Amino acid sequence: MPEALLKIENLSVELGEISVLSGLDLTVNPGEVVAIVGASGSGKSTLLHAIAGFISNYSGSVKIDDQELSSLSESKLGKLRTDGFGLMTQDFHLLKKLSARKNVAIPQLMGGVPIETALKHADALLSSLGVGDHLDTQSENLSRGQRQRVAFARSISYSRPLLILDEPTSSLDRDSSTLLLDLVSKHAEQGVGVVLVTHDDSTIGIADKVYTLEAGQLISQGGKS
Amino acid sequence: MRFSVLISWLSSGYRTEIIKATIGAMVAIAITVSIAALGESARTAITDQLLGGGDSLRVRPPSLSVGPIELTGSLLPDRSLNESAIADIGEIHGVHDVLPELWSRFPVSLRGELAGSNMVSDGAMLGVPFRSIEGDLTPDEWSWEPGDVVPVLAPRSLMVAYNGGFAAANGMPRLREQAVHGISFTIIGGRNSQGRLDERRRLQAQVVGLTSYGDALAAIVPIEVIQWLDSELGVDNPGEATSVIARVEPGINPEEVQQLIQQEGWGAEPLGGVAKELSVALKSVEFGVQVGGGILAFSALMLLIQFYGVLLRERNEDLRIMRSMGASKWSLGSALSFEVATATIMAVLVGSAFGLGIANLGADLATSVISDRLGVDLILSPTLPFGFLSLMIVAAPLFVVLGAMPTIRRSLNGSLLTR
Repeated sequence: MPEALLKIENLSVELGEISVLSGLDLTVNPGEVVAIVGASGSGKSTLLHAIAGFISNYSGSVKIDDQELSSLSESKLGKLRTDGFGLMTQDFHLLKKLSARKNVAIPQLMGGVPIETALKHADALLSSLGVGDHLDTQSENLSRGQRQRVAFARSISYSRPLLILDEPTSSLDRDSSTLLLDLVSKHAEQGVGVVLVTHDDSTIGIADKVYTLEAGQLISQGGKS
Repeated sequence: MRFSVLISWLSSGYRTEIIKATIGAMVAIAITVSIAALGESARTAITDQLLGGGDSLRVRPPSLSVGPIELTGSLLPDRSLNESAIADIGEIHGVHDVLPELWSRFPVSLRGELAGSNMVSDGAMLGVPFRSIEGDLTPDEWSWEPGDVVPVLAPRSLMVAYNGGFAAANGMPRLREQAVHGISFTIIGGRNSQGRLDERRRLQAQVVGLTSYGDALAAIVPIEVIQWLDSELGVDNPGEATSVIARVEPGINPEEVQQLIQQEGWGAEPLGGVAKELSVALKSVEFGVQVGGGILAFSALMLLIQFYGVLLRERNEDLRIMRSMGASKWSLGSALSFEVATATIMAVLVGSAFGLGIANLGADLATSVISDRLGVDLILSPTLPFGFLSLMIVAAPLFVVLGAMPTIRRSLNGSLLTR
């Protein structure tokens, strides 16, 4: 049994008086694609933010690469965000004044990749996702679908063991979605663990495990495995 | 991520705003520097005039004449300023030190080119030792041996007179202090401009500066020049001082010292009669420069801090994204501080250069304002106030970075990508 990349145990998060997550457990192993679905406001994004270390006011345990996030210092948490996982948020969060290729190159540069190599790799990734004509376009001038692909390219641009994707295909047409999901599958085949939050049935199709988030807990819905 | 790339990419898209903010501060600093440079040049000019006179007395052998009849030899004892007499004057109570002067006692003609015109003028020369002008030049600049070019300090009062009316009346350009430096001319001793004397000596001379020394309207030269000319032209008692400057000890009333010297049988007259008025002017100028310059400099830096505050708030989202990808607060804070400090230094350097230009353009106006308001003729030669500039280069970036720090910290301590 491979060592889990992500291990969540008994995770509970309360926002004010409301209990968003309640005793949630989740494990993601290398090469595994885990999809999480749920109604709006069910706590999917809160779960992803807990995994990314953006919130710390939770009880229970969230471990990435066997490191408990709540016990990590600011600098170690920063290093984990650089080297431990790639993240694509629902709102993309691109540096709006920066070009598409530079946005994609940032994680590589933070990981120590030389700038020329990083930009070359960014160009190749964006071209493979159909955004090759907009390499030097400021991200604020891209369409929503283009920005989504740039955000995805950024999340996979630097090799990391875990990939966290929040609604990665919500603004994409069928062809672009297929292209993107193929890339996710290829990364999983290379041993990358993937957490997918989605509403899209086609996205669920590539998942090894599918969970529904309901009443603050994950309920298994099966999956490929 | 390399620091230079981080800085470059973080500022990407905001450069226009950063440049605008820097230009704003630059303008304010330029105004500050122009006022400081003008004020400093006025202060220097006033101080120079004060030092040129100050609490000093010019001591001469007594003289008496009635109209054209010279009675000195018959009615007054013959006194000469030999070394023993100078030493005695130095012993008088209240005299701090005594500096010999040797005026030319032979006709002097000056020939040269000034502002494109040939000039021939009768004149006078005053030889002084290095100690008398040590604030203006170095010993090497004030040394002379036969065959050397004679270093000359031109009287500031002559410059004021030239600029004040002579230049305009003769259609000649006004001269700045810097323009006078290096002017070459010929000194002809022993011969006036009509050429009536047989004995004559020509010396090449060059102006090395301006001085207000001793209220003298004469070409100030090293004392060795007059001593040599005295010998060459066969003047009586060659090289003997014709007068001395007695500098009064600080805190002693110059009038009392003057009386004591006169009681010893010497003629003594105070120098720097306008010292009191100049000292009032000096205080006014210093106060204006300190208060005005200080307020303006502070305002310029506060302006920069405000500009950066707005700019940083616009970039909060970028900083949150960078932190979400693992950039440390330290690296982002350092990059932003570096950016702020660099912009401030640029504003200080370029603003100072512009300020100096403005000060030079406004020097003539300031000269006439000071002349009208204070009744003092000053030649203003604004120079970069290095003390102020050094302070600004060190203190301004620190001040602005510290001022912007609360905003930087707020930006870096904000929540990450949670909504």
